Amino acid sequence: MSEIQFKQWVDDYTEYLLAWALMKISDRGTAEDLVQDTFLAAYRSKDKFKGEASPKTWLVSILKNKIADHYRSAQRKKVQYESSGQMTENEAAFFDKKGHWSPAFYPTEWEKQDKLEENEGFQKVLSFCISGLSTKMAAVIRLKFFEQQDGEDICKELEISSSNYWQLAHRAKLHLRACLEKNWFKVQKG
Amino acid sequence: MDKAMISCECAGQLIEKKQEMKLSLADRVKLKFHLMMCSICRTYEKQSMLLGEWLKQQSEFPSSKALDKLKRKIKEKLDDE
Repeated sequence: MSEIQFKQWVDDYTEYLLAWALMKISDRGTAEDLVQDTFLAAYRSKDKFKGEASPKTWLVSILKNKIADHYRSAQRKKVQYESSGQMTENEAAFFDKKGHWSPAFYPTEWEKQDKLEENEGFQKVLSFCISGLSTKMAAVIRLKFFEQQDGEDICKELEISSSNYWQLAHRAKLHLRACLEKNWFKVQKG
Repeated sequence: MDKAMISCECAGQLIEKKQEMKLSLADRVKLKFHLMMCSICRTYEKQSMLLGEWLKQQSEFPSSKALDKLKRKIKEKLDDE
């Protein structure tokens, strides 16, 4: 297969592979990296592609392995995080026993900034914050916002009750807002 | 009055719920009352909605610009091979 033909695959299948990766991985930056790694791996072993399966099927099979590897190494990283006392599921005393905001987590006003969704630096921080969520919270965020499924379907897929769902969605947002405030809005203020 | 006032944590969950579905009348009243009294939760509500928009946009995908960028990046990597 020629290089030109292979580059045609990049045009034809990147979108599909990225959508596929995003079903399994909520962090967009990581998903893009895995798609890129998939193409590189495919390119290196392109002589093994015999055309028995469609290119799409072959590429997806490589991507699946990349995702599995990613989770294996993420699992190791997660253990490190937790042992250093960061973000576990039930912690973070956003509220006191009576359910009032803990002063350390009072939301402060964010300075208005235009077109944050197009700001690469901001997107990186947002991805970083998403990657710090617990697995369950990340799953809720992925299904609720990225795939825009209804709450009811999400409860079924994750086998959680609806009150658990609202709690997870709320907690995830609390984590994300605290993380963005610390790593973006305060940094911007200087 | 104390009984009518829900906690900030509870208000936060209702704020989350409200962005996805219509709240029951009782919940609407409770939330409205809480927000009238609590400026911290008013700030939180704005931020919660902003976060929702940003998260959806992250997925508003594939935006063709971001996709083209990724394709270009992959092709450059292939050239290095």
